[in-house]
Amino acid sequence: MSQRSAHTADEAGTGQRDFVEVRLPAEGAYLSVLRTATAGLAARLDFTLDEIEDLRIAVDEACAMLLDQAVAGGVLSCVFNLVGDALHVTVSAPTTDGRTPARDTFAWTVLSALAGEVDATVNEDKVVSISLHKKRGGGPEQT
Amino acid sequence: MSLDDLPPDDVDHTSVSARPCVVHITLEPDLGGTVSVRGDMDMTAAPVFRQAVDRLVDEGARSLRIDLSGVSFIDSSGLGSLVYGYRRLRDRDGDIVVCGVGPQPARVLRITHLDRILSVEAAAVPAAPRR
Repeated sequence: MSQRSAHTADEAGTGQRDFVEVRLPAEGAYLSVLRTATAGLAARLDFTLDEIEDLRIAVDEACAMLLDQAVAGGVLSCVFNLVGDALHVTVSAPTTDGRTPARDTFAWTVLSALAGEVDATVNEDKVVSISLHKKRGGGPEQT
Repeated sequence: MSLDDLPPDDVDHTSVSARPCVVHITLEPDLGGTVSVRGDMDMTAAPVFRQAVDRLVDEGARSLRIDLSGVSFIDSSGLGSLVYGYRRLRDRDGDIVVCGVGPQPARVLRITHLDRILSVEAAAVPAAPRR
């Protein structure tokens, strides 16, 4: 696992914008590590306990979707952007199928209910990314 | 009566592990089964949980008690495995109770409305210390 971070001023110059990237083996056994990192970063932004739990679950769900089709021995990347009172998370992994996750699954329903804004993309190298944006005080949507 | 009081031949204890989750199963003489889970119920633990349910049902369990008192995290994979257990028992006219449900699992069960389908008992709240 590797971790690196950088700090820059946000574009409006009104506050801190922190960037953290966590890279892990694309294996389910490492999800607990990522959940812990997610909770720690959310706590930095003073998210409520419920919002921290929502983020832990959302990041876990997003990664689990990618691991379903991740290339064996690949790397799962999770980038956190802490901007003001919001956390923007993008998880990506090289995949064998190069398809975005189906949106009619129970897992996607849970993810979208807890994460706020969610999107998924795939590039020409079959790297699939799922991004989510959680704002402090946003609360979960009711399914 | 505690499980330790039962004679060895009358109860089957098995533990299977998918770190960081451990699933412990018990089949009582009256064919009531218990699945105790300790750890995180995520994509690595869900298959182990389903195997535990399969084993108990195949051995004749008519009812299952799922003890989640050792679970502090559950995701859709874990929820899916609970629904799997519910369906297996329902197909045999059995019943399933999920007990010892802590705050995080309770929140997820509520958000997904699965608490309306599964019989759910919350974890006991520790007594406040006397002053």
